[in-house]
Amino acid sequence: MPREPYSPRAFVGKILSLTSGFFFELGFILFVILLVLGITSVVTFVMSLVG
Amino acid sequence: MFRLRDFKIVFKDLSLLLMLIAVAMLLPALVGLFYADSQDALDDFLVTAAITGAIGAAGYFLIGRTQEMALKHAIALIVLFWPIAAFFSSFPILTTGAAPSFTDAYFESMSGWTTTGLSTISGNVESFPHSVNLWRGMLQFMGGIGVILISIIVLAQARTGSESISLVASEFAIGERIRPSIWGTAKILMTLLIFFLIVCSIILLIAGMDPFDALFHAMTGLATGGFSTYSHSIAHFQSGTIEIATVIVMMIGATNIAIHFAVLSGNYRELLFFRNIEVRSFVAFLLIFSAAGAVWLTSLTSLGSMEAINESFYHIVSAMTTTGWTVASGGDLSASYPAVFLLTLAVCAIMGGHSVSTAGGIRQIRVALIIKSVWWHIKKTLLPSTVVFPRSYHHIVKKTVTDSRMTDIYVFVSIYLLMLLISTIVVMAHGYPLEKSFLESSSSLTSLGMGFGIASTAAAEGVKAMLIIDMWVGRIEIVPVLLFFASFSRRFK
Repeated sequence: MPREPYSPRAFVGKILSLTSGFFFELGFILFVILLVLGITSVVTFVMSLVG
Repeated sequence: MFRLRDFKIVFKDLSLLLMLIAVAMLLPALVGLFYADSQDALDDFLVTAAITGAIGAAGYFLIGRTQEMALKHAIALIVLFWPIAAFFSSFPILTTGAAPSFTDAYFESMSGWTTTGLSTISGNVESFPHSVNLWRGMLQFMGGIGVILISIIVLAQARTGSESISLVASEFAIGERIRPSIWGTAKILMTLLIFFLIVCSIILLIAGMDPFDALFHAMTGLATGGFSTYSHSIAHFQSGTIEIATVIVMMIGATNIAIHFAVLSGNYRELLFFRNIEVRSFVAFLLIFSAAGAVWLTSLTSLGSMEAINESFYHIVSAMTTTGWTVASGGDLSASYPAVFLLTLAVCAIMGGHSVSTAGGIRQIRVALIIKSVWWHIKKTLLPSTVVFPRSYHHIVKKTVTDSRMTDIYVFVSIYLLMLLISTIVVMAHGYPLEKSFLESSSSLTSLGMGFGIASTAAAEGVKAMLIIDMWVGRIEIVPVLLFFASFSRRFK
């Protein structure tokens, strides 16, 4: 299959896609960290009241 | 059945890999020059590189033409690569004086290649030359990439149907081809990993590490290996920002490469609403065990609530990603935490990270499917026999689960737990208590690498040997070792 000719626009598009994809992934990981820490804190607090 | 001509095929490829390792050894020598390490340390790397390269070249050119690789050759290559690579890679660690004996140097080298991170010499790591530390980091990064790459390329080259290697390829990308061609997939993987190495180094640099530490921890974190340039691991930094940054690096390393590729290509749905089965499973267990761990640490130790939450969360992430970094002030976790928390860490490591990642353990896909299979079994029992219900899950695309796939999973888990039992017994036979023996064995087998008080220079040679074997077979998921030895039998002519 013949390779596509080099296109600066396509290259920049790929870089932007990669960057936005990475920041989405980073945002998801931070969301998970906050979610887990938040719920863990709530559970620990509730158990300290019960305990 | 394995014959002499089969060994030629395997050793030719091993020789090629040895030449690549020899080239890789030149980088620590260069870095050592930059940091003004001793001339002896530089010489050790250069001499070892020369000898390794010469042996590799001799093997490659003397063996000559060989036949095409078949499945048994691919399996032999995967099985033999780790002990042989670890052997040659251990010499710089030994000759520079970082390790007091060959066993300790080999232990460190195997721990590097298998991305375990368990060490008998980590107490002195701050005194190692920069060249030696960089080599330790490189071993883990190469080990992390290598396990994915070798398996894709080698197993794909083997002329066989995909079903027959489902056990061997269970962690590997046969089902995860990102591109139609294997070389295309391999190129994408290398690009992704180099991209993440650069990005994670920048994240750690911004968090406050110096450039060498940032690069080192990016390499060992992405590889979910857990080596550090400090004997107290991440606890050395005493920084919440660095802890969060290292959590990010660990979670990137333990995520399925196919998920990374999907998201970086714009398929955000894979993560949204926890659609992917492994993401869902990983986060669910992370939540459950972090919360439980925090409650136990609050009630069973003198830690305050905030410290308990922080240390529980960090160590559970470290265990589930099988990285092994710690934020505990002491080196021996068994002295810092109650038994129930240590057992939880072992269970998390046994479950492990995502498949097709650098993480170890049984892997989340198997854990999730085992749990689902229990539910399917309940449905099948309670519903009328004429009812047909789908057994499927979402991972990039919707996938159906067959009985054959579930059998493979149950066989694998059985063998894994049997290996853990054998290792625990062998370590106990050297006089160690049950709890520590189990924890240290699980730490080695799952590539976790957290120390529980056994692995040290003073440990018996038999214990070190058992843990080395655990690291080796755990990295390649045991089954290839069984297949390798079985291939010598006349039954499989």
